[in-house]
Amino acid sequence: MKDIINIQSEDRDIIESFINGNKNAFNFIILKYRERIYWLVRKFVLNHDDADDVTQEVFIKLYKSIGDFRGEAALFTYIYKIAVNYSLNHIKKNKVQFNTQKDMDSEAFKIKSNDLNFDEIYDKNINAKIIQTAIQKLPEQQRAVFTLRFYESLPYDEIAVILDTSVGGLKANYFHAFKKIQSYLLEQKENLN
Amino acid sequence: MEKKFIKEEFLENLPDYINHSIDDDILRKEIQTEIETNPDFKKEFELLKSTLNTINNFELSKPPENYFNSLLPRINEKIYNKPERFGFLKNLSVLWKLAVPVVTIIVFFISYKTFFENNEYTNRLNKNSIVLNNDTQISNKSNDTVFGNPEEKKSLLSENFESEYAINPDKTIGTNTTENKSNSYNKKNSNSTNITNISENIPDEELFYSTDDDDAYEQDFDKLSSEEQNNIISKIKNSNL
Repeated sequence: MKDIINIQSEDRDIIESFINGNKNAFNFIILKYRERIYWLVRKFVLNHDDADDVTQEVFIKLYKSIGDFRGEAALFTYIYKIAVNYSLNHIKKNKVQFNTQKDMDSEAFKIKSNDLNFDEIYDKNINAKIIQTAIQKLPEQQRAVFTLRFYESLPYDEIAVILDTSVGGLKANYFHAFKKIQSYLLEQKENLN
Repeated sequence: MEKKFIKEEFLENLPDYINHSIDDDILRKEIQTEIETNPDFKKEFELLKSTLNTINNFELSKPPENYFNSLLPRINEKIYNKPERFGFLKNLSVLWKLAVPVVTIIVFFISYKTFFENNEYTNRLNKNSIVLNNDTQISNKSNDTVFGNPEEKKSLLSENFESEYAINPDKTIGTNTTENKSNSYNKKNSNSTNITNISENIPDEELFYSTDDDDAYEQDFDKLSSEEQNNIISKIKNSNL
């Protein structure tokens, strides 16, 4: 709790410095959050090039709107909110969920363990593409909750703030996201057999 | 007081249970009990756990080397050097904000000025029409009496001299002032009241704006025959000037 307060206080100091005319203060924000934002966006859009574009857009948007930040929530929640919105807009705009070929070719996922033989690697690569497609097929809200909860391990109340929704339905969304991925994986497994 | 959970809540919390991210101890224990006692729920639990493990076996590929180091300068370049799209529209909107009040003030000023100038013009027009009417009266009378009929003009001129002399015996022909002429003219003129009224209303310089009148009298005197001139001069002489 003490750490969170310190981080928020540090962020507030940086923002104040930026608003008072210190343009370099914004560079501190970029340096501090660039990796977290990139990976968050990447988990949404999966493809690196798209993640790169969206990450830059997120920071440009932050630069333009940081004057509106009132400090009611933590700065990273504010940035996450922008990142999630931009990622979902990007998905919608480019219809990524229906255009899986691009992401499959770019090999968004890779296998964690390297202690595998060729056949296992081959099987795992197929599975990687199936998982990628399964995530891409999730509806917008379920995809957002799945990413923020499963990959980012954010608490539900924070996810609710980021997605502008109530906590109530988030657990159900999370569960149904897993069920959809699961049913897609089972479906693909049957097709392979 | 012990919390009561419905079975739907167990299902919704199952992913968090598998990921060990449930903080509520009671809920965690109840889910554990449900898995142990309910075979359908246990089946659901194992299937979901397998899915989660499958997803957990994969991670996203890493971005190119030095990607994060190049991110900051690229963002800065976009922020500070990128020409703003439709920037001219932004300038126009600023101009528009400035132009609206300025145009409003100008329109108001023009309307105000036009309105009052029209009023002033109308007033002046009314005033001038009065003056013009009076002038016309004077002019008509002048034409009729002084400059109209030459015979009347002659007699009037001689009478003028006589009356002038009667009023201002010190005056000579050459030193007659406009005012004296005006007075003497007014006395003889049947419309003297009108002229007096006008002269009260109109400044002297407007009524007698020229000294041509003086010349006119002299010219008129010159136009008289020598007999008539002598007659006038003798009258003057006889008057013991």
